[in-house]
Amino acid sequence: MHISEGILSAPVLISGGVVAAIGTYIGLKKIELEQVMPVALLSSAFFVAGLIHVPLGPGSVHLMLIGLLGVMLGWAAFPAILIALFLQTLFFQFGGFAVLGVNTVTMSVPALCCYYLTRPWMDNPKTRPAAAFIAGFLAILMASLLTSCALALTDTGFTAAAQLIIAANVPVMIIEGCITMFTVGFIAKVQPEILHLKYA
Amino acid sequence: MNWFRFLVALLIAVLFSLSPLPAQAHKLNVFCWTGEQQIYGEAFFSGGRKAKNVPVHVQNAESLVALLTIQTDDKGTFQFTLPQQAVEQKLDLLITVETGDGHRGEWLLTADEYLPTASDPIQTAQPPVIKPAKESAAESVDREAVRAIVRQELNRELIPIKQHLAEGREKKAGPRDILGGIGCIMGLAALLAWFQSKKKKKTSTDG
Repeated sequence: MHISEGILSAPVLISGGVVAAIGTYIGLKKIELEQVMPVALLSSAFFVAGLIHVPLGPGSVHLMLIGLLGVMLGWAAFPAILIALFLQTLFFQFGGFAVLGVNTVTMSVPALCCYYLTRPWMDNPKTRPAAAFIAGFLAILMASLLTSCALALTDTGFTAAAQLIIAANVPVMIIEGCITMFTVGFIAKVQPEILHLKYA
Repeated sequence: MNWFRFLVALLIAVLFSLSPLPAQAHKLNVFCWTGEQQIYGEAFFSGGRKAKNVPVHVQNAESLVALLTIQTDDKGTFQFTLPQQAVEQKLDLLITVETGDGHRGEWLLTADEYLPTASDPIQTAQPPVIKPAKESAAESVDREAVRAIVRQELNRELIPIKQHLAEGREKKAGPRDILGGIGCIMGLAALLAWFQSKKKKKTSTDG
């Protein structure tokens, strides 16, 4: 899902950078003192998840946990993902520094959308597992579509790119759906205040 | 207590994720090595998966003018004959592979690497051979033929070694990188928490 350096045009890169900067600013403003540690831990999880290769399907894909970050952090997913992506570029040569903004947007916007979409069903323990699974699944699907959009805005056809990326990421969608479901279930039991649940 | 359990669970998850090391990274690698008038290469993701049937562009590294386009095979490998223009003008070649889903890898092949004759130590630093006054033409032709055969054989033998050397240039992510990254994130979090607590203290004393 990390778009490499040298593919996107300058207007796409600049727009991505601006949107990422705005999202990160809002995210940083919303982080309370009590939320700093969960943000750092989930940012670390995202940073390491990139190394877990999923040897299924036609492409080369890895875990991202963006649905989990979205559900747990909301707007704070922007700075968490930005920092992790920056360090992934620095240490693992994923993506690139010029594409950092676009990559942040393609992964943080789905996280934020999942936060707002699945939030109403998170409070009820009966609908929570399904909502968490949908968040994990949908986040990867939306990130695939946004990545395809970014590529289509440069020169690659949207349909061709979307087909390639979505087909490669179907196993990741299912795996992340399950991971999000189990992690949210576990956190709701042991530390419900992190999820800001009305009742656990 | 709950907070402690949550931290332990996350720590276990992180340690568990460290187990598939080294280098389950997600990056498109391109490697090229030279043979006799041929360039060989391979493209694969760091996780080991081959980049199959994807276009490979060979460009002039300076002007970025495309010289030729080929495709990788089912094993993610490719080979091409050196373009005449590149040999004549001694061009550095930029070989790029794009998978169409946002991944791109490249390899710079300098003219020095693929033009062995230009910097051939045998030719440039020939030992002073005291030639007999009347060397027959057949003898000199033989010498050239032997040299060509030796070079060809050497090239063939060296191809796997060159391949290993090229692959050895891959930067692999190790535990040091992972722990360094996590340390950076924790350091930034501590910084943010410090600022937040200072702000909180200030507002509480003001109020």
